[in-house]
Amino acid sequence: MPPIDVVQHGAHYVVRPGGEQGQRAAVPLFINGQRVAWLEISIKCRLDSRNRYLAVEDSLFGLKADVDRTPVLRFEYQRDMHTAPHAHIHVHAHRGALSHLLSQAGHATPHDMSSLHIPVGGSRLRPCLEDLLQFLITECKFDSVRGWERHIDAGRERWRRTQVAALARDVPTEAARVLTELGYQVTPPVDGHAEESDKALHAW
Amino acid sequence: MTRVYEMTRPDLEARRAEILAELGLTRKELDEKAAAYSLVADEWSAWEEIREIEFLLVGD
Repeated sequence: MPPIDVVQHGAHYVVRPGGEQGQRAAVPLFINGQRVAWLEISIKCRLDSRNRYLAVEDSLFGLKADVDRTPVLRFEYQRDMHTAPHAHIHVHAHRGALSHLLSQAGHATPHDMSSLHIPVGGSRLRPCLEDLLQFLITECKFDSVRGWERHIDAGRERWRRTQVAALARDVPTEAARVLTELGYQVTPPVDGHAEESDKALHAW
Repeated sequence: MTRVYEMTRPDLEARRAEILAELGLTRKELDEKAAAYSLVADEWSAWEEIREIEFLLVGD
């Protein structure tokens, strides 16, 4: 497992697996002990509005096969995406029926499935890295180390707790409503409920 | 293990130039290939690394 590098310039940071002397690297993936693929991880961050935490601007988790060094799957998140879903998956594959449909619809690249941005839950509900890792192990049958499950579970829980908290901040009225239904006593702020995040509710 | 590297603008720009020289493409040509979904093999990694470099450069 390569080390994790944080590359910084100014207020921007890139978190990624590291190679020799800080060179960009990927995580090797094995089947029966033989390396056959790579997991590319690239997380672009900036300091948040309080200059206290790193906020993710863009992330890529990609499965790339050794045989052609080309992506098979790409899980992407782009905070400022305007023309496609913020969180999406690209599948690098071919299916004649899909090409036929896209051709009939006048799509610009009907033969390229990877040109499609398959939506996966928006900014707050997108899959985490642990979800992809479990997919690679459980469904794709890549080699794993003993005890992987507890690390995946712990990481997924950290992610989901962070996102639930962020969602509560984004839509506090909904959080207050649900907590009230559960029997909590919720008191709104003196100035009234905080404004709901339009992006959280409507962004694709 | 986590390592932290602070990169200067000249470092980042030099690495971008090195990547493009290895590919034999201009920045514009690489972008055009990406936009046309016609990147092949190592061009994918190169494009992603250049995107990282350009993200860092606007962090000034």
